[in-house]
Amino acid sequence: MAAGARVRDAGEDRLRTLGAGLLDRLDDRRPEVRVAAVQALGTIGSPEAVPALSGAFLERRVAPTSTVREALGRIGGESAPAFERGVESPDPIVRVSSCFGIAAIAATHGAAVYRLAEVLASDSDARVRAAAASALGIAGGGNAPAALVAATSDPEVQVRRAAVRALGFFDDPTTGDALEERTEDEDREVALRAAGALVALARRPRAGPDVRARLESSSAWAVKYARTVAEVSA
Amino acid sequence: MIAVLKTISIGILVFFLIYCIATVSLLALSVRQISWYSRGQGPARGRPGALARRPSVSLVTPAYNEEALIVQSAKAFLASDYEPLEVVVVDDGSRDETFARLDEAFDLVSLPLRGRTALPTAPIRSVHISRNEPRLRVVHKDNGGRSDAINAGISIALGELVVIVDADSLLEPDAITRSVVPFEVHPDTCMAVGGGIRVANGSRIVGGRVVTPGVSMRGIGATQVLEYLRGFYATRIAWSEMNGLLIISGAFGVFRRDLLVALGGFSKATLGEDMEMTMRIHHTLRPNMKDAHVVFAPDAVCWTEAPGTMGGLRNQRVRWHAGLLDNLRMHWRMFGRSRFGAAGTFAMPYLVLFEAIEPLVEVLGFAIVITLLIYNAVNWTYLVAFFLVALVTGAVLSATALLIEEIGFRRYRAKDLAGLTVWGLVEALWFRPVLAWWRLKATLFALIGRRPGWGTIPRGEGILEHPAETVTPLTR
Repeated sequence: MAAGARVRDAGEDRLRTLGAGLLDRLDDRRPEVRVAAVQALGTIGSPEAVPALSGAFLERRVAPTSTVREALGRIGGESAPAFERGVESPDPIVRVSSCFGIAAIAATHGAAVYRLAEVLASDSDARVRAAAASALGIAGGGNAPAALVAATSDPEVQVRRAAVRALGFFDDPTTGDALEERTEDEDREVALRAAGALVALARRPRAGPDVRARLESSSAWAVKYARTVAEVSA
Repeated sequence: MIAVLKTISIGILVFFLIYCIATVSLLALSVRQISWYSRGQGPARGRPGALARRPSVSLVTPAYNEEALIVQSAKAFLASDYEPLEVVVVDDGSRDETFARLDEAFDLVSLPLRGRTALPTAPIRSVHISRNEPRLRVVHKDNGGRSDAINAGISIALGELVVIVDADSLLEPDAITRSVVPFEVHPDTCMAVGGGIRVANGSRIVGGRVVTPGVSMRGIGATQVLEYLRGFYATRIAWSEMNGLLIISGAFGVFRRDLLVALGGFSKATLGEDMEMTMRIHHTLRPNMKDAHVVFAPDAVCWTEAPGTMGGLRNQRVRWHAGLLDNLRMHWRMFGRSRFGAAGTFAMPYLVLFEAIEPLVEVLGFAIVITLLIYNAVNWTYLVAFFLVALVTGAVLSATALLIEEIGFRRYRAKDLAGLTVWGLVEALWFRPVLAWWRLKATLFALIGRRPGWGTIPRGEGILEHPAETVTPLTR
């Protein structure tokens, strides 16, 4: 046991040393070196890199936002404060990326769904609300469908599209009303995505019976479209 | 008069020297980028599949009277290695059996169609899904032209990204995957990606795929291979790196679907709708979104058949030049303006000087030489310098294009490269003057309001205020 612990400690020391070397590389003048350093820090998963990566993420420097977000996501729960601050950023791109960052660490970040639901309900930028809806679909969690159902009435079409699409990932019978209503949405894509989500839910154990009944009685063009696609694809 | 002509001729020589310096600078940047590229490095590069969920892609291909190859093309597009993918073939009111061939091969089933689509187009008669290939949609519509057909496809498509491909284009199996990488690396700022277009003439093609790249040994084919290598691999890489790329070829381009809808779709007001869309992206986004990117992905390859006759080449080039002039007129406000980044400060002046005006200067140069010869007043030092500049420019451009090809891609055999080198040395003597003459004709047509092909074109088109705000973030 002691030998095993020594090897583990030695490995962790070595990773820390490597991580420290990589942190210096975050300021390299060559962009490809900075990108590689960010990716390597994410691969190592060292929490010591979180402050530097958080700064890079929030200030959108060092490397593309998505690359830094991915590295922070790989490190895990320790990155939560960066994403929490990110959703408060004045920069909508950082807020969008933070939503997906929160979704990536949802398994280790208990407040993820709550935080995303809050962003979905309150952010002033439709792009950020759409990202929060998509991120809720990725994060999962029991409270997500309620927030997404509310978002199906969002005035911005891109938010409605993201919300109905995300609802298709949840086996939740309470979402049927909202999705059925959206099959008549004035936006063709919202209607088709809502119908597609209903067809997907019809195959789920909990939501299935109710949704199948809705599909049978629906006369919406989008439902006919989605059912034809599903039948052909089966 | 002779003195005036001599003064003008010196001005022309200076013009070409500036062209050489500008182009060689672009080439140097391209060579640097491609050497990074060949090592899998560089700021725009990343690992495919970086996003947790790959963006859904709709490949849209307009087809007009394509009965001979549409089934093979659709099958080849469906055989792409990218998932999730849907292929939307738009039959633009073909007069031949294009739709019937598709119906026969893919067992089409009609889908319900609602009245209003995302973009206004000529009436859509029907939309279909294939029973034996459910990723295929076929849109059957009244004829409205290429832009109209693409807009109909965009309206029916459901992918986050739209790939626009000509029906006779031959996509490499990994072309879509590679073209999506910039969107994965920069999901918030990458707006459009252009793939590399190569000339298929002389290659061995089986089942809609280029299986053995080759080069036609006829001058017109080989010289166009060189021309495409120069255009795509020697300069677009540099423009992309500077974020000043002003054209994504209509043969193969990838766009965010929401952005295309927000911008109102492809324009019917120009003969160069592919370039116009690229310019419009810069024109509308850059002032408020500095880091909005239009990227060239040289390793995403699409093969196309180039005109094999001088008549076909003339029609194509006159149309291209008329399209260029249309687009410069529509987006002249970008000229020299720093708020549009390198697109405004470098790329637009480069296009105006060395694409729009250059044919005039080149033909004027030849005319002056001939006049001076007639009057026996030729300055032989000038004459030798003029032809040396023309020859050296062509040779340097061609050599660099071949070097980039060798460093980065190595598609061609030694025999093909040797043929290309020979044709590259002589093209300044026949190909460039002919092209200059056709482009000058296109300019003259434009000045008198005459337009080549594609019918009447409406003028003027508004620039939208904030289209970026309607672009949905890519799920990841």
